[in-house]
Amino acid sequence: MALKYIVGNQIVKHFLAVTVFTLLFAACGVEVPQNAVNCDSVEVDIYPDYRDVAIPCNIAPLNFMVNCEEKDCRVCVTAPSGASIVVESDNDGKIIFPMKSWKKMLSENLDTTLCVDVYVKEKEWTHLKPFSWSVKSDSIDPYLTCRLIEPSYRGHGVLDLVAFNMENNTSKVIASNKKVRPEPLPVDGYSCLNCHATQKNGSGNSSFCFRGKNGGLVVTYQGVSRIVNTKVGDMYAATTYESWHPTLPFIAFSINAVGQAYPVVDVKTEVIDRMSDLVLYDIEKDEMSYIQKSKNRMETFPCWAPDGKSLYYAATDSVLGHVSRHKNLKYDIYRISFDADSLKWGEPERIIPMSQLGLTAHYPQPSPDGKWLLFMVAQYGSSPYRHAECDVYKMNLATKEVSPVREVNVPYASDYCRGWSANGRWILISSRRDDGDYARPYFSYYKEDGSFTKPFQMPHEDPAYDKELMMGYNCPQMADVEPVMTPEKLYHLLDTSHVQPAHYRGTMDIPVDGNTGASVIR
Amino acid sequence: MRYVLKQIFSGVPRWVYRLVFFMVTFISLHLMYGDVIYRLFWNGFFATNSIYQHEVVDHTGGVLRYLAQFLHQLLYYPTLGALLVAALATGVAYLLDKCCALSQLLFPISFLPSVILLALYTGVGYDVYMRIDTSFGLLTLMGIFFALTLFYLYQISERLRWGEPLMLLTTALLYPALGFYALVALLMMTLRTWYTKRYFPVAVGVTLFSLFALPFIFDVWCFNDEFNWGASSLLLTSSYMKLRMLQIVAACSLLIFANPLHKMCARWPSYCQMILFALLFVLLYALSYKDKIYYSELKVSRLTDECKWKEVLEECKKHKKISHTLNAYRVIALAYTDQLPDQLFKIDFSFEKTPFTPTEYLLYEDEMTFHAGFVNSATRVSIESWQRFGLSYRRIRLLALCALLRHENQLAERYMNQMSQSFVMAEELADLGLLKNDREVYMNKHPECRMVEKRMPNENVLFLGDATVSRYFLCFSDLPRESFELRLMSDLWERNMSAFLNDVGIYAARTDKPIATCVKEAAAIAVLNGTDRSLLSVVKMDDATLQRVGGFFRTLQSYGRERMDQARKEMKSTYGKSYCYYFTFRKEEN
Repeated sequence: MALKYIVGNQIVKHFLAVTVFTLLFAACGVEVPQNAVNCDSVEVDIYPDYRDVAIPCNIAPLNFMVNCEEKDCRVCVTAPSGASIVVESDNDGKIIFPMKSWKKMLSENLDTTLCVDVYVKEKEWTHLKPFSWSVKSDSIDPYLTCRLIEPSYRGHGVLDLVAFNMENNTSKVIASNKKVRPEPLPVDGYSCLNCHATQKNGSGNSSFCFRGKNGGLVVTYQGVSRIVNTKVGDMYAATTYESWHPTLPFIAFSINAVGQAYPVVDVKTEVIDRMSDLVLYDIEKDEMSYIQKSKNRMETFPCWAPDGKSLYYAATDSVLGHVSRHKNLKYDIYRISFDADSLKWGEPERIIPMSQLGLTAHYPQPSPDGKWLLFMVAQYGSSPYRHAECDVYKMNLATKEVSPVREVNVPYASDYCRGWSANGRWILISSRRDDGDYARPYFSYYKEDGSFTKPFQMPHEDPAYDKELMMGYNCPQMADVEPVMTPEKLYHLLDTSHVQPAHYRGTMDIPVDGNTGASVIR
Repeated sequence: MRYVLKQIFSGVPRWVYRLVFFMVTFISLHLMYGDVIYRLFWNGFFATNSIYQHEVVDHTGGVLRYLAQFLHQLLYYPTLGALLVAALATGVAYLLDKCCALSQLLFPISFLPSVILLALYTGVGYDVYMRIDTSFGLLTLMGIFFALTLFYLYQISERLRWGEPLMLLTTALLYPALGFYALVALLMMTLRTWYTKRYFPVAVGVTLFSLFALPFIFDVWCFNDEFNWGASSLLLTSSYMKLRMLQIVAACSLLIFANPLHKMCARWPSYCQMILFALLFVLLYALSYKDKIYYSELKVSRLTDECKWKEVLEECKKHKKISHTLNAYRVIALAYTDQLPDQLFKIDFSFEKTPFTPTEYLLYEDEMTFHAGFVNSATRVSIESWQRFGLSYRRIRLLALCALLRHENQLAERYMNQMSQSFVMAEELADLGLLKNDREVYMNKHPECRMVEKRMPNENVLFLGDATVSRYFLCFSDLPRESFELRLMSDLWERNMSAFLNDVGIYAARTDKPIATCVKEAAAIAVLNGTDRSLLSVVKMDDATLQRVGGFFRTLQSYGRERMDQARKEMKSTYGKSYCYYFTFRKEEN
């Protein structure tokens, strides 16, 4: 790595080094402009919009750009104690905080509010309306893993699974298809990499799917990685959406016969399931069994309850028939109990009948304290994450009351919750509010009363990063430990593994008909 | 006489040859390959943001590639682009002459590698559409230029104590920046030590180390690439690999055999020098891509960008038989000049085959869908091309335009932000900015975009994958008035009589133009096949058309089924441009 730093990218690295030194030098000598004209009525326009947000104590500097014609800006972050950091913008209006001072400021001001004053200079300095950062002592999971992908249709270019360290603004590639893709690509792409999921108990256990030659489900369990073929028995597809059991070596999956359609006018792409069911993968036994295998119902998006005694999922009784009827697809949220000792499943229970309101519900995400269930609501569809109307809703699991989470939604773009932090204080929102197409991760703080704070975008060292990145953050997940997988390990696995299908436990113990609950095997 | 010639030619200084080479190269690139250069530019991409920089630079040879992409922007101005390429090619010849110290007689051979390098532009052919990185020509020219510069500096360093080992080391250290071309320079230096007998073991040692250890250190450890990435990445695959190898073999042969060759040729008359020089241009011609249809396709694509519809049609008329691609641009031009119903079938529809047959639609699919008003589909096609062949100015401009037409201004800004990082895109950005900020003014300036906006369907229809524009049209129950004529023509093109019968009534009621002959002929064919005769009044059938259609089928009948091919040939002169002829004789594969 050191060698890479020296020679890898000489122009960029030298440029960055000079810039950093200049900034450091500048930061030391920068002061709050004296005699600045107060213009408190003018809101400052910054990217990302970090105005008046709650932030975790371990977050990396919230570097931002001031969107104004005057590129000469100064920012002063002041703590209640009077301590402050003053930073001057570079030529592009970028405000980059020194890491050390930032960390010190946060650690010394837990559960207080920092005041951020922005000064811009045209002919003379102007002080714009200040905003605040509420520093929470509740930390956020240090890592965010996701797949970086163009807002694509069928194909894809180079796909990387990336882990962003949100504490120090660094990132590393966990897995990539770079070495196993032909150029130019066939239209339907090659060697797809799917969502990365982790077991949130500090174990570092994780999984993702690698499609292509010698591919399968890449599972890392107790530090050992292997590739498993998860399309076994009479399963019509390999595993798709996944959720790790909170403590036990189980992963619940949906299997989806999924297709895409391309509307000519409306949303640019529709993901449509023709069939879907739920399966359970027992990692230690390397065994696959059905959770739900129903004739007239499609089940998808499993998510374990924090105690691991039940599984939430979305399901619909709408039978698709022809693809043009995709607007009839309305999903409800279900819960099914699970007995880990006997590996028996209970009866499915519909807990949110959203279809009765003519809407569809997906991505259930129960809070770690067991009080709330967040989920996505849209007008229709199997996976409507690109729909502008798609919003985050919450259900009070005690009172069964359902309401939209207005604090985190925007009316003009898709927002949905991708999960909770391990301590249950922060939620991750995948939102396309920047431009409608490119998904970006946002975080919001969960307050005791069940409300949330205004979400803030994941910070980067270069605040223009998300503006410049021509890819979306697909399937983002928070992770409590650093993922152990690397592209080299993946390539080694692909080269050396003899991929075997998982054992198939045959039909499920309690087969359920989607509509009646009677035992039916398709 | 022989003496006079000898006096004349032996007296021509080398700089005159270089000037002639530079001028001929520049003029031919500018005049004959302007459209190739134009397309190479628009299929390329360059950005200054850190994400893109890392993507390009963080590989062995990445600095050279980034530099080539930066200079590739100059191709936006074809004159400047031609000037740059001609200058680099002449520079390579100059350096080779300097390095090899060729005699006056053999001096024209120094142009040989440059000629082969120029073939990267003149012989690019259909790869111009599909290259991941269209700055490959400049990359190669610059790579060879740098390699020869290093070799020349090495020769100068021979005068210094420790000069050669220092140059060998410097060249090896340039491996991460220059990749393959640093290795080429090292190989040339090693060959030189074989002649000079100085530091031969050192040179062999450094070269072997560079060939085997440097790729491991940089490609594998630093850049997480394959062992041979640095050596192979700048050597493009497919046909170019052969061309590069030819060029490398030519350069190495020159180095090794220059002296023996000179001795052998010493007794030749000096005007052979001139013949040798002329032969180089013959070689350049031989290496060029010669398919006329290909050059016309590039030309009409550029003319379509400039909305010069008449010129598009004139270019298409130059060919007796055209390709599907040319026809696609012809159809776009006909639609904008309101000639589609009259002219659509007046071509020889036994289309020329191209190397892309039958996937030729990939070359024009984005433009065809865009101009037909299917902006969502044009976006999809552009993104899929981006994923397969890389981001390009052409794709990103279309994506921005589609986003603005869909009123997705924030999304358009993302694309425009990428475009703004190129120093040649100011005019394009100003144009797109006009659409964003003052739609009406933009639409007045670009009537074709107003038409695209009018053609955009209101009804939403789902498609499951690739669909031709004809299929798109068929799936709507109704379309804007501006699209309806296109749909009817597409019915006729596909010879889909049931769709035609559905649409013709609506078209006849809506149109304010006289019903076109092809529509009348299609109606007559339908009536002959049993459709109700009331259709004739719907299309305001005239006697002349009826008689012509009747005459066509009577003549056809006289040939019988077994002599269809003969009928096709013999009836062409009389009926070749009629819809009846198209309807009957168009082969399915078309």
